[in-house]
Amino acid sequence: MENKNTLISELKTLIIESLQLEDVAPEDIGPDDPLFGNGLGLDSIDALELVVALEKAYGIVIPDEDVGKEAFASLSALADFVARERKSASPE
Amino acid sequence: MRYDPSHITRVIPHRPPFLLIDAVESVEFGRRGVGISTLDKSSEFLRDYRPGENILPRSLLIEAMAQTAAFVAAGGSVFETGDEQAPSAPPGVGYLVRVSDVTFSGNAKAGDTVSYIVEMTKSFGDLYKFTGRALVNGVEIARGELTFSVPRDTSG
Repeated sequence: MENKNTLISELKTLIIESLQLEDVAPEDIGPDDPLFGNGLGLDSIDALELVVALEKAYGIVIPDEDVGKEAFASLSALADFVARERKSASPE
Repeated sequence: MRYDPSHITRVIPHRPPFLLIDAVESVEFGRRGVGISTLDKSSEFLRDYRPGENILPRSLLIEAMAQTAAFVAAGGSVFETGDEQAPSAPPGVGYLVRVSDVTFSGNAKAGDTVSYIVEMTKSFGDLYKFTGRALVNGVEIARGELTFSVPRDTSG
């Protein structure tokens, strides 16, 4: 759980920096808030930028919108997705 | 293969005088290409922008990159490529939705041949993101990132 919290914290920073969300502080993003629409209010252009940033930061690929819907459902869902994809990309 | 205006206008809606590229070369549809334009002194864009200087408005360097990128993004669904891995937007293109990290470092003037080198860096959903550079005689005069939205229903 601590690892997940650390990852969530990292992802908050990544989202804010890569999307240049100048008016958003990390504490403004709840782990279960939707990232898009009525939650954080991100749009499809932000989704593309986030896909690019995640690929650069973690080497994970979000190939299409269906996968994106699962990964971007919330910060918590994104942390689960990143953890799972990182694990499958580099088995120990 | 060199694609001339008769090819380009099958893919993108722009027409002279607002079709700003004369050709597209080194094309890998869905990936990269190089738009070419030789600037004619009689062009109203050069004549009226800063009279006497005969330079292309710098904003049009971005427009020309965008036209090149739109051709690269959508041309694959018009011209056979054989590369089924390359993401291809439907012909008819869409609209520029974002321009970012643009830097201008020089001018293109009458008589210059400008190369617009574009490369798709990511596609996701209806969006296609490119990097673009404009060069004259091998010297970069502009660069930036361009994102297009291409609604899927334009394919019909």
